[in-house]
Amino acid sequence: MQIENKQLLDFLGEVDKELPRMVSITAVGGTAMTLLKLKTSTIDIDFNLNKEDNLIFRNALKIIQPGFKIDLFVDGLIFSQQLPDDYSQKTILIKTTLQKIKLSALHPIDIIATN
Amino acid sequence: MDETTFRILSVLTSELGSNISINLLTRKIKERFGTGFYKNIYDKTKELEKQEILSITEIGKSSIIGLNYKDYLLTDILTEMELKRKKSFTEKNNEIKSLLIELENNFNGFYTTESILIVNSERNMRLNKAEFLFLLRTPGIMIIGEKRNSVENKKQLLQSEIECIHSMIKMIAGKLNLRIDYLILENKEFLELLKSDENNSLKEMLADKIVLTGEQAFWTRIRIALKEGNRIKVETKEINPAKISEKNLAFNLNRFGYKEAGITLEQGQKVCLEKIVTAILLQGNARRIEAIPVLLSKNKTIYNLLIFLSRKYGKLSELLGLLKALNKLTKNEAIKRETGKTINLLEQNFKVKEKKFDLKSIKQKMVLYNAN
Repeated sequence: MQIENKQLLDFLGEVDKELPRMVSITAVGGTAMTLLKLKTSTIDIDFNLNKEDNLIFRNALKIIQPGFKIDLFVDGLIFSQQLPDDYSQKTILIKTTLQKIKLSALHPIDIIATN
Repeated sequence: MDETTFRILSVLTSELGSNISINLLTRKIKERFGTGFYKNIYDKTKELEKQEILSITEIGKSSIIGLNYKDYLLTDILTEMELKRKKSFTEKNNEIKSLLIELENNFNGFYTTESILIVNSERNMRLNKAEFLFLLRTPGIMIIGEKRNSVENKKQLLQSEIECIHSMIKMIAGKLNLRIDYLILENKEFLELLKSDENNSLKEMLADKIVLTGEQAFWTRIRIALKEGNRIKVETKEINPAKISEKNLAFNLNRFGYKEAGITLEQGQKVCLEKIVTAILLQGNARRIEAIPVLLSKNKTIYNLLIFLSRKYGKLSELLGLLKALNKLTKNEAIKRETGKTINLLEQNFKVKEKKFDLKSIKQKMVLYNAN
């Protein structure tokens, strides 16, 4: 299935309702490209978070039980590829109305595209 | 049906059992539809009262509005409302049309499926999922083979259609790349959950649902249940099993016959057994998980509801393991039969691999709590 920008934000809106505190998430891969409008859609949802935010985000997913394929990566380790040390400084902030999610996307220079 | 009547009936049917004044009705219509004017709603409710569709009871200074279940034609009017609601919903959502077409194509010939409802549709669409409620009728007169009307034949037909529903849904979910959660309820189970004073998934579903097929049959069921004096109250606030507080969990475990030492009990909200079992599975507390066979032995269980919740929250493996333990250890023939049926359903339709549990430890608990 193809997940468009609006759907990504709608999904995060539902997650937002179940978070006990602010979390920072960085979109990676196709998700980042969709949020940056470099692509019209992505087939799955990929985010990178730090360890603590990862646990909180996973708990929220447990509550809402979404129907998307979601991959969560921790501290910049995307599958077996470690992002450069300065990746978080280069991320692009995505403006949203979310209350408890600070959403960013990887800078295009750091996005790894695979087929 | 004019728009004001539609809005009034939409709100009243989503809040069955609640006392709604005209002020509150106006507020709820505004919340749901964006606009709502007291005078228009007041005039329309008076008109609908004259037509015997609504009843208005004066309580103090408030006029409490309710549906007039004694009116035979109420079912037809509510059917009309459901059709308008379905039309409005499908016009706003193109993706849902493919799903509804699949449902229509695949469930057309089902004999015992009386109504299909879609639940929390807008929220679920945002999460790429759909949730359905299948309401089954008990087969009436049947002529199959030599044993006419036999109870066994009727049970067999019901069971085979339930298995078909599971297969069809799996096929549709795969085809549309959509997650589908679904609750299947037989007539008796539906009534039991509807009348119950406990929070349960059915009463939550009725707060935000659209009847897709069998609209008249659905509202006839509700109307008859209310006419017979059953108190029905829809739950407008969901209790998510992943969020049940420790206080509520302890309160409900105690009333289901599982008392834990060292826990101070406080009054909590009554929640159905099936949701409590799911909450325990989600919590992951090993001691409490091993107590689930005790809970299922000591209390009446709607296994269809238990399957729905366990599947929805990803706990089918654990459920299968616990049911196998219970099936092995119980001396109660009825429980053996019910758990055996559920085990077959899980293994054949969901291809679940059981999680193994310590039988010795579970047996000790069952003996301790006098549950075998």
